[in-house]
This record gives sequence, structure tokens and C-alpha cells, in this order.
Amino acid sequence: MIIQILDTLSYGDAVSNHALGISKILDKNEIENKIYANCVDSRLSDIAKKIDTYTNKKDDIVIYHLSSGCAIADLISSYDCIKGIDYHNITPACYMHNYNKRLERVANKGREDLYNLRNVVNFAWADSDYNASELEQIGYKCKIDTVPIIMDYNEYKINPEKSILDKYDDHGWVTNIIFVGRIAPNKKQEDVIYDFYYYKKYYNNNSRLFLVGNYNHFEKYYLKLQKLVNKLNLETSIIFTGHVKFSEIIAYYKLADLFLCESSHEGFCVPLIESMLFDIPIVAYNSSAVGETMGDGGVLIDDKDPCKTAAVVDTVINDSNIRAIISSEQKKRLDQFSVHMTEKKLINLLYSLGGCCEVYY
Amino acid sequence: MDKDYRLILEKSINMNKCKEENLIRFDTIKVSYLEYIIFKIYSKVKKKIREKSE
Repeated sequence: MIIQILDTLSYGDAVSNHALGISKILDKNEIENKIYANCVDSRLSDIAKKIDTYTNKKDDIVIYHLSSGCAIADLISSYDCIKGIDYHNITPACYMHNYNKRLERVANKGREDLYNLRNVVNFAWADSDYNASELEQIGYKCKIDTVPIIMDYNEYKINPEKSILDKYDDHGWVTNIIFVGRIAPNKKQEDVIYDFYYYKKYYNNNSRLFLVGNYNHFEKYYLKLQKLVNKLNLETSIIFTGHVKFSEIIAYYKLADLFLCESSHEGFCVPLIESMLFDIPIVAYNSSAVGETMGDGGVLIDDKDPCKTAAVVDTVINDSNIRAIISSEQKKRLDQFSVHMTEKKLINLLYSLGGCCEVYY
Repeated sequence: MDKDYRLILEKSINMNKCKEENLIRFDTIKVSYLEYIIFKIYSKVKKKIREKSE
């Protein structure tokens, strides 16, 4: 049986969605599987069980989703079966230092766990080549494969939240720039705000910035961002949405004219793919796995110069030829991350782990 | 993005419009402990209201 283990199975976060996506693929291929976690969202209690109810069996294949530090990592070492990690990267602790001491400790523990598991696991998966290269650097000697985050594009075919559309849809009169991601220091929302300041002042006064994401755990950072917005007199043009429902995220994507990312650390960055899905041109700072996820889609910027970024944003929004090329390249990239492509890879990988399933492609 | 496309984009960008300014630096912005605590309580209340409505 394939056993997926993670710290928290919650509703809507990328790692949980990925684990659920793997489970769906396994179910579809009639491969027995279960999910266990330390904390399980009550809405998912039919799908996953608490980790303390799991009894390890020799025939099991355990996949541990590693994205932060937790006590489960010590349990993995004690299992007498084929075991591996699926590495989703860990936000470096330095980003949390001034904002959340507890999360800083969790991130440090995650790095320790990652190091300690290097000689314990039989296989390793990573969301991106960027994450895979980190594993190599740490000293993982087992086979490392890149398995992108599973995204079922059909799940995005839901009705957008009408109240959001009613509130902000002005039929193209206002240009909407968007960034989606939790409010967190590594996402560098302050740099998005600086870019937007220049864009609004020098290129397009009829513009608005949506910063879509939960600020839970980073209230101090969020308050600093708000103070910055006030000092730049952008209170009426920058909207912090806070926690949003899935249908609300869809509405913000529907409203967006451009996705602007200044993030300094991403192990994959799901919102880039989501933007491609909604045919929104992307302008992004080239850091960590961002460039790899974008591939030939969107525009990558190698430096943090808000004047230049504002100029690029203006060009992409106004030049229909450039937008058409970006759109076509982003569509090609989107196909490469389709659930069908990932399913094929995943099943082949599982099969190679000792004939655990009789599925051939 | 292929090189030709990058060249088209580079040529199209109008950098002349924008003037660099001495904006407030993010690292100089401070949040007091009182502001933080008040906001924490406000966030918790807001979260509970949201959970009830969902």
C-alpha cells in the first residue's frame, strides 16, 4: 500500500492539494493508498487519518511530504519499509526572524529533518529541479526525481464569487494587477507595492493592485505593509484581501490584467501556473524556482529595480503583440504541467520502486 | 522566453517616463508591540466570525 504522510492536511494549501492529487491518481489506477497526518482538517477527515493510528507494514511504500519541521520525520526513520520524501522546499528561517519566532524554529527543524533523512530514505522526489538540486547539495545519494505539483485544471472551472466581480469589475476602465500568495516576508509584497507605486504614478493612474492572501502568522509583516501603503498614499488603490475562499480567488484571477511576482523564495509557485490557466501575462523576479516554473512563459526580470519593472508592466499591458506571444508561450508551459503528464511520471516512478503496482504506460 | 522575444520587449520598454524617487525604505518601518497585539486580537475575532459564516 502507498502511504502518504504529512504534518498537516488542510483545505486549500499547495502541499495538501498535491497529496490529495496523488491519492486521486492512485485511486484512479486502482492502487491501494492512504493519507496520514499530524493534523487533519475536519472537512477531510474521511480521506485522511491521524498519524498515531498508522501501523507500519513491511510491504508499505511511505512517501513523506516535507515542507516544514515536525516530529513525524523521526518516525519515518523507524519504518521498516521502502520510504521516501517528496520535498516541497522549506522557506529559509531568516525570512521569519523578525516576524514569527515559532515559525523560525519550525523552519530550522525542517532543515535539520531534511539533513537527517538524507541517508534514511530510499528515494526522493522534488517539485522542481531547484528543489532537487538542494537535495543533492545536502548529500542525498538516493535517486532523486522531479515530480511537479499536481494541478487538476478542471477544479478551476467553477463560478467566480459574484460579489467580488460586482465590486471590482469596471469593464476594463481600471487596470488590475494581482499577486496571489500568503502575506509573508519571503514573498516580498513590499517590492510589489514599490513597483505598483511607480506604475500608477508614471504610467497608469487608473490602476489597482490586489494582494490576495492570508496574513495569519505574519501580522507584524502585514502591518508594516499597510504602513508602507499609507505612506505612499495608495490606500484606495491597493487591496489586501486577507483569507479568501476558492471561488473568490477565481474572481480575482478573472479580474486581473497582469500577475506581478517579486518573491525571493519559491519551491515551485502554484499561482504562476494558475495565472497561465487564466491567461494572465506574468512579470516576475527571477529567483529560486520561479524561472523554472515559468519556463518560456511570461517575462522574467533579473534585478529589483521598481522603475524598470513598472516600465515592463506597462509594456506588457499595452503591447498586444507582446501579450499575444506571452499568452502562447504560457499555454505551452501549462500543457507541460497538466495532470495527465504528471500522472504518467508518477505511476512510472511508483512502479520502479519495486513493482508496487501493476500499471504500465 | 526566446532571445528574439526578449529583444522585442527590451526595445519596447519606455523607461524614460519613470523617475527614481527617495521612497520610504521598508526596513525603517516599525510596528509597535501594542499595534501588533491589538491587530492579533482583531484577526482572531475576524477569523471566528468568518468560520461561523462558512
